[in-house]
Amino acid sequence: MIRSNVLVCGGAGCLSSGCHAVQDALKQELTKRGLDKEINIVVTGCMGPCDLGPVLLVHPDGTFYQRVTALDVPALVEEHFIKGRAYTKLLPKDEVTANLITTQRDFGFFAKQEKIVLANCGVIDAENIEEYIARDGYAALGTVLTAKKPADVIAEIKLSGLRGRGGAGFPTGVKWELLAKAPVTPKFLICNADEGDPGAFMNRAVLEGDPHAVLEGMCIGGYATGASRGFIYIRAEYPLAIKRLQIAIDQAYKYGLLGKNLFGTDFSFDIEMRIGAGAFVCGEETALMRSIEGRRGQPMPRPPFPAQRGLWGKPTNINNVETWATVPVILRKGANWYNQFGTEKTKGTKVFALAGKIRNTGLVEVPYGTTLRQIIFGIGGGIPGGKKFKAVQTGGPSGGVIPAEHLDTPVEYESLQKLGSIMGSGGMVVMDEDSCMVDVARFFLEFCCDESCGKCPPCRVGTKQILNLLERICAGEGQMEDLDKLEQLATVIKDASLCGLGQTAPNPVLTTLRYFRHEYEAHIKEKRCPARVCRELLTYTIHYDNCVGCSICARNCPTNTIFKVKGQKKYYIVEDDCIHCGACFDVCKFNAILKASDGTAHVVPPKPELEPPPGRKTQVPA
Amino acid sequence: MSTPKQITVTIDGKTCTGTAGQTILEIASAHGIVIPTLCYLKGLSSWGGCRICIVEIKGSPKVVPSCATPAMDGAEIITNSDRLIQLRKCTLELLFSERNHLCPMCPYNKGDCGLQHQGLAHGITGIRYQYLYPAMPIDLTAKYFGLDQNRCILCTRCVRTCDEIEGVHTLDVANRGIRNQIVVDLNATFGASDTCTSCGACVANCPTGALFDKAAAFRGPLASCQTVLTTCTECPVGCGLKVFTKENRIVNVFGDPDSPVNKGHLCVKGRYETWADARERITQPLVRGADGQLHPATWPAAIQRIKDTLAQSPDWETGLLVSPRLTNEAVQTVRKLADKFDRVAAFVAPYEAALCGQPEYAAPDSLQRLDEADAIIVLGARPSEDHGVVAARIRRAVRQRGAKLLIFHARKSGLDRYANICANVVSLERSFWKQVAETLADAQRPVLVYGPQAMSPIGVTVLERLLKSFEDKKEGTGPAVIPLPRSANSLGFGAAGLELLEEIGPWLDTKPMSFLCIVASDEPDGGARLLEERYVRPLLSEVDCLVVQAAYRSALTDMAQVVLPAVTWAEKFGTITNFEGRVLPVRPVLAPVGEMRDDQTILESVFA
Repeated sequence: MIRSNVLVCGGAGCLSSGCHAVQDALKQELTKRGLDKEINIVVTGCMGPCDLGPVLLVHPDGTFYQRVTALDVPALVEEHFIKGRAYTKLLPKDEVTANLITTQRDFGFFAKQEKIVLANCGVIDAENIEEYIARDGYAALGTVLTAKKPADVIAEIKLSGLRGRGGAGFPTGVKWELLAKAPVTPKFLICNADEGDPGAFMNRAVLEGDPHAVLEGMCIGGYATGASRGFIYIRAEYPLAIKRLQIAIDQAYKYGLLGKNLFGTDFSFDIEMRIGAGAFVCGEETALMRSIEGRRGQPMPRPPFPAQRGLWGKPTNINNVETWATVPVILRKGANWYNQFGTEKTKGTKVFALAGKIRNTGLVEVPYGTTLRQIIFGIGGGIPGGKKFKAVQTGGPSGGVIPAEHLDTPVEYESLQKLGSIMGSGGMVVMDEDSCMVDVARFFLEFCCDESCGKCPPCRVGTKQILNLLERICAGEGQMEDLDKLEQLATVIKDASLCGLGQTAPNPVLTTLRYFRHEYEAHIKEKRCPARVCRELLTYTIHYDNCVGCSICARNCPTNTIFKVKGQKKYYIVEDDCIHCGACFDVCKFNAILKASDGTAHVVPPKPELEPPPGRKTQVPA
Repeated sequence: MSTPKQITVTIDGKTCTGTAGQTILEIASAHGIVIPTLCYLKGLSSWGGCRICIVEIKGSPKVVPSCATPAMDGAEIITNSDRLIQLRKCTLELLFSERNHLCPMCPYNKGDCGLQHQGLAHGITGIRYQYLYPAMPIDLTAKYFGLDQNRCILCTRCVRTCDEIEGVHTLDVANRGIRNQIVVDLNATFGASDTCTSCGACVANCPTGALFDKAAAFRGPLASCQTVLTTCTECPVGCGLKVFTKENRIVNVFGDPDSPVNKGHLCVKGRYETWADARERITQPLVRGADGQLHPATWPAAIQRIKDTLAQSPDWETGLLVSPRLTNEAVQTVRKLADKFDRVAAFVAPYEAALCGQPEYAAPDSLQRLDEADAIIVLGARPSEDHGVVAARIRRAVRQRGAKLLIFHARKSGLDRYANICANVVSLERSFWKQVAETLADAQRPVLVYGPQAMSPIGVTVLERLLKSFEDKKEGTGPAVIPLPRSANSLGFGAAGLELLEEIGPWLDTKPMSFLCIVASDEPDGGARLLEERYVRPLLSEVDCLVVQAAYRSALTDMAQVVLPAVTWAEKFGTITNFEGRVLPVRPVLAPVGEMRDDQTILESVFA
């Protein structure tokens, strides 16, 4: 008789921090203590707070444990399952009160979210279809197929206000209607699971933690639009998601929930996976279709749109993982239930992947209209280490940075667009005072330049040209005219590019210029990086007062440019040969290395008489 | 079939009508509105990648490529706003900055380069971006053309041409983004490619000097040349040629886009081999002197020598052997003079005689049948080696329309890899015919192409068996039968009623011949292949007086007592009959040099 379920988070974050070891240790310990018939271990999808992994959730108590290691397991089992009290060492602490949080319900990170898409993630065993069914899975499909007409389904989706979660935010019901109207068959549905934005893992969590939601959504979509086959285009870099999805597909076929004559009706639907090959551009819908056809992943001009001529020339509808996963709950609970969440223009909830300089990295799901401040400081826990918030980058490489003055902006498509950024698929990278905005722009442009398919010159050459300019500015070789050149290039690339990659690639540059122009000017005029990130603009100096003469910096210097001061137990960095690698800064245990970016105001400390460090035969420069 | 819907759009304020499905560019062109393009080429699929043909549509903030965007009824389109002109200019400048476009070093300078043309048309005298100066390779390993990556703008016209016209898909794009590069096969060189047919269509369609013809390079801009439309005489397909000449030299050869036979496409023979290969040309009559060497002579002297020889020995056995490359007019002359000789014949390919005698099978729509076929059987012919343009059509049928291809032959050919069934006729088993029947089961428009080898004993057996397998099918689905001979004017000869020889040894041997005139015309090997047949060389050396009428020097001409200089296709005037039965014009593109004369004039002046 099972008296307790221990949910072990098996999401990607916890996997990499070692949840398998925890799981094995748990199994071992419970067996050893004779509890294996009473306590059930369930491996679930991502629970959300990835930075705190591996995490455990014990039901029915609701106790949440963080940073669990295999070594903690015996003590935890002893405390929680035998003595019947929480193992306080692994309980999370409230940031404000520093009190221990005893149940998940009291944990702000969870309490402030509204989990609709992620409702099953972190709750069920993703590899067991019966757990999905037990939580009302496939009930919506059953109702739809037996009691609703296709037009009713489309009407319901339209009423719900569901907008595409892939980034464009196009009304899903309208998109489905276009496909339903297409007179040619066969018709196809595609789930875009390419998720190429760096730092985005929203879709990954759903695919790994609740894959049936996507399958059910696609079946409902097939019924509504007249499509007969679905393809899930999933990136090759998600092997666990691929594995779980295949298990889900196989189980669905076995249970008669995919394939011929579902629920005894004459509606049949097939789904298969197609695996990507490492190209960000294949997340663009026309390039994605080319890739499924076995061709080079290059976008084609639209019109014609996929609903008119898509996969193999047939009418096709493409939606994001999150969009598909929302469909069953809308049909189950009704559009009017769904559109109580969100704002007037954007209904429902959105999953965001919080990353960067933030205390609680991980996945959060909140209704549209929640402000950036609520997400970053309320749920995210704010900036760690006492640092100051600088900006949040939304929408991945297609998006832009948003500074502190706009933190109270409610998150929705139009409001973010007004600020120069985009919602994108939900990536949110938080930056603090130690992030250089010029470097951020350079990083995203480097990504776009690398991932550009190369079909059209504005993107292929334009992103390279704009990257060259940014690299020069970061290296201290920029000039003021370069800022005008950046803006000119950005306009050309935005306007003339063929697809969304090119059309949005300049956004990081444009927003950083808009809100942080002073950082660009510092790089150019003063050769100074205010955030102390751009290597070529850094200087490393030894702080005499703190230096104890241990010589560890000199021994780690790759260019042998640190010497001992003659007659003293102090060291000195000869700046001429310093490559600004920061090795000395990293190894010094006495805070004796000053990392600065003073630019043109930099004063080289006077050079004392030097001798080679002990044990090294380096030549002291003249 | 319902008539397509008519639509009306406004382009730059002008009302234009078109049909639903047409692109904005097509409607604009039909109304004389010029939109600049680079990657677009009529006859190829639309790419929409160069972003030069972009236009604005009222109501949308985005620009669209007019070559790839279907026009919507009622749309208001602008082609030349300040914004569009600025974007086009910047896109062109980005292209100029990307690679090393050094016009002064390029053979397409001054008028033959699409990129230069657009740059000048947009008033570009300098660029605002930094030159990237990448190190790009040059591939000169192909015999007749080269690929200079420095000049490439990645428009992919070559890729689409090779895929959609020639059908081999040798070229494609490798890597991604700024590292994009046109590659041959899987990054091989042209010289090492086993798929490239050297048809040169990619070179013809490349807008810049990236792909360039070696023989044509630096001979001058095309605008400074004369052009003549003529017909290729290398094989019985008879492709239309558009030849550019300057100062009585060929500068370049292109396919005639208006020819219903090839529609602008050519194979390596017609595009290159006929003029770009170096061969020794005979420009004057040569007479063998007492010292046993051939010496240049005047026409009167040479003709007199022949007449004297014949007059001296009136009871000599005389023969006239002609090449099947002769024009119809030359063939008429041969018929007229036939009774001056004891024996007259034409030499054709092995087993070809039967094909030459079937002009009634040739139909003007043979190539069209091929373009509509959903099953193609090739028996005893090797189109990929002998009729490049036909092979291209077969490959297109297979790759674009999914047509079935069955090949029966005794030798390997380049077309084999595209076939569903490829069988060696020498070893066919009974179960094999069942497989054939299955493959052809659903064919609605089958075509049977057969070459000379189909007339061999084994070939005939297979041919009969094939035709029989169609008898069982229902009425009207029998195959279109297309005979495909090898020799250029085979059908012209077939109609003339001359004796056709597949072997000349027995013909020479029946009765020792003392005088033989071989009209080799412009055979590329000067007729030397006749010598490859067994016993022919010793038999010919026993001929007392051998006269060879040829354009090129060869081992055959070296054996003759008198050599008479003939013109080539480039100087000929007349007609040939292609395998469809079309009579096609051969027009001179060059004036004869030296003492060369056309075949019928030579024959008349010597033997009439």
